Amino acid sequence: MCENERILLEKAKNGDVQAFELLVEGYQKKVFNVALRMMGNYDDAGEIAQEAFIRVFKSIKSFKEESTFSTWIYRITTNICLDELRKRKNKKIISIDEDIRFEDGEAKRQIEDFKPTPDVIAEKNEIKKIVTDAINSLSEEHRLVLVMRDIQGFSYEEIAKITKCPEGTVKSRINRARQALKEILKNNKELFNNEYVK
Amino acid sequence: MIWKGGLEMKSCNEIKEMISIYIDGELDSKLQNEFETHIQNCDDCRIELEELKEIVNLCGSIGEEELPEDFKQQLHGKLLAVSGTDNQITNVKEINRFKLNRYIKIGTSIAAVLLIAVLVKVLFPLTAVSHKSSESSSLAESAVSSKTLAAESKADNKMTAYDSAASDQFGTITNKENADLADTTTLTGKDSLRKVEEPATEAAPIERSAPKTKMAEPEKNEADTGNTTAGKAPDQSSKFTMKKTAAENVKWNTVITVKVEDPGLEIDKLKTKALEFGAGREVKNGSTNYDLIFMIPFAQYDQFVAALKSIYGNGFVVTGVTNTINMDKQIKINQDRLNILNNKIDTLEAAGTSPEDKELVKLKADRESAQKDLDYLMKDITYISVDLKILAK
Repeated sequence: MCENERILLEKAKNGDVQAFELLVEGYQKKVFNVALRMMGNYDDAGEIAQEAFIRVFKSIKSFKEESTFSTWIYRITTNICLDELRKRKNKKIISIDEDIRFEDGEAKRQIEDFKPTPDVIAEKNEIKKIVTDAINSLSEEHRLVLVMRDIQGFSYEEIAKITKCPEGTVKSRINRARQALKEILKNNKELFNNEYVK
Repeated sequence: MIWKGGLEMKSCNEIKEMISIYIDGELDSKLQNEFETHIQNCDDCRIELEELKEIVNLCGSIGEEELPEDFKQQLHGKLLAVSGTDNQITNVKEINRFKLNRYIKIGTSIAAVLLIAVLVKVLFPLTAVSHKSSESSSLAESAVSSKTLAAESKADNKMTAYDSAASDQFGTITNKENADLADTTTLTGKDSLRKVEEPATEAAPIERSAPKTKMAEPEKNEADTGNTTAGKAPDQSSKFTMKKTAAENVKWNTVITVKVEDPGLEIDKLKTKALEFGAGREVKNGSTNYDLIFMIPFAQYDQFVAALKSIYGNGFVVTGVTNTINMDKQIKINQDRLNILNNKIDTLEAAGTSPEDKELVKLKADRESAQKDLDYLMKDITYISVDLKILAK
């Protein structure tokens, strides 16, 4: 952390919003993009990214600089994403394809799944859409490392620190995540150079 | 390990474990040499390497998206709120929306009461007459739901498509008393077809809870949705308003399950049709590949069935059981749950519990989820479940 950032950090710790905004400005896009690729849509990504910065601001006094500031921000972001995804997953177990019997009828509660979102419109590139859809269907664990490594370009070491996992675990997890993505995308042969497709 | 010519060779499985690390340039030089030697001599592993490289390239090509335009502005507002109120208020937008909602609520309620009279006369004279007996049905009740029609009337081009749903709605509002006698209404396929021609009369026996009925709503803004929540459950909304209000939810109120008996039929045509008729982002597969589940606006249902008949043949599309659901009980359960959570949170906060406290965080998460459930129930209260079957030829 450079001197300038240190000053901003101190001010932010004293509740200075402007200093905080300057301090985190450089992280905003990346935090948003991590959330976007984890959650799969713009609305959620925006909300989660904002929530992440609010949490950072609220707990900045307790930031001890044991980890770097960036690691800390990304850890908070990924934790919020994972929490939210788990919450939804739990909810989905109840809702997907399962008829809920009410006293006087029956409904399939798939409302959320049918919600068209602006991100769908925004995805202009068909291949990009196929790949992002495939990423969205990965497990959270795999999605996280894949987004961090292959989309956001974090190093193994950074990912290990952010996720608080040993580097060895991160390495094998990234490998498995890529394998899993490959399996999903295998059916889309146009995505691969044909000679490599079995 | 495989021993070959006195040298220790790594197995394909071991090599495959290393592929990603190799791609990322993180193998140490000894392993890298071994890896490259293996790759040169093993087609399988080489193909695997190339495929994974392709995967990495594909992911890399996704790139970054820009921040939403109002991101910084919104964050600024929230930060000010957090810093200015000692972390008590976390979402300025929610609070502002709530204030706004109160005004909109009053305004729209008045407008809706006026509008309902005009609409009944202009648009559904027959319906109004046929249900004259219970005309005295609470206007206040109607107001909340009929304000959605205000938006509708603005969308002139969409009006026609939604007429049948709208008239159906009026039918049900005015017939609540009668409907209470029959909890579930079951329409046979034949009845359902008749509904195409006689939406108003067919609608009569369907029970729906008038204040929450919101069908065929072309446009709906956030404030509007929040307002509905406030209108139905003021206790909850004053504590916590729904953050995420997906206007489009309201439209998807006919849950359709289509079973296709003959796998040889072109199911893609069915999917395309469903999308054309507003099935939203996607059509889900049910338990099999020939069992589709999706939602379309209720007003589009009859036309959708007609379109399917033109594709698959008149006699091969069978409309099954149509159910409507009264969600009052579910709503009550969710409201109770929300009240309990609110009380617990209030107690903890009054005791000066830190916002980071695990229990408090969990309770708030639960509350948010309860609020979401409730909001969905309120918004999509008119569910109609229909089974369609496409017979094998």
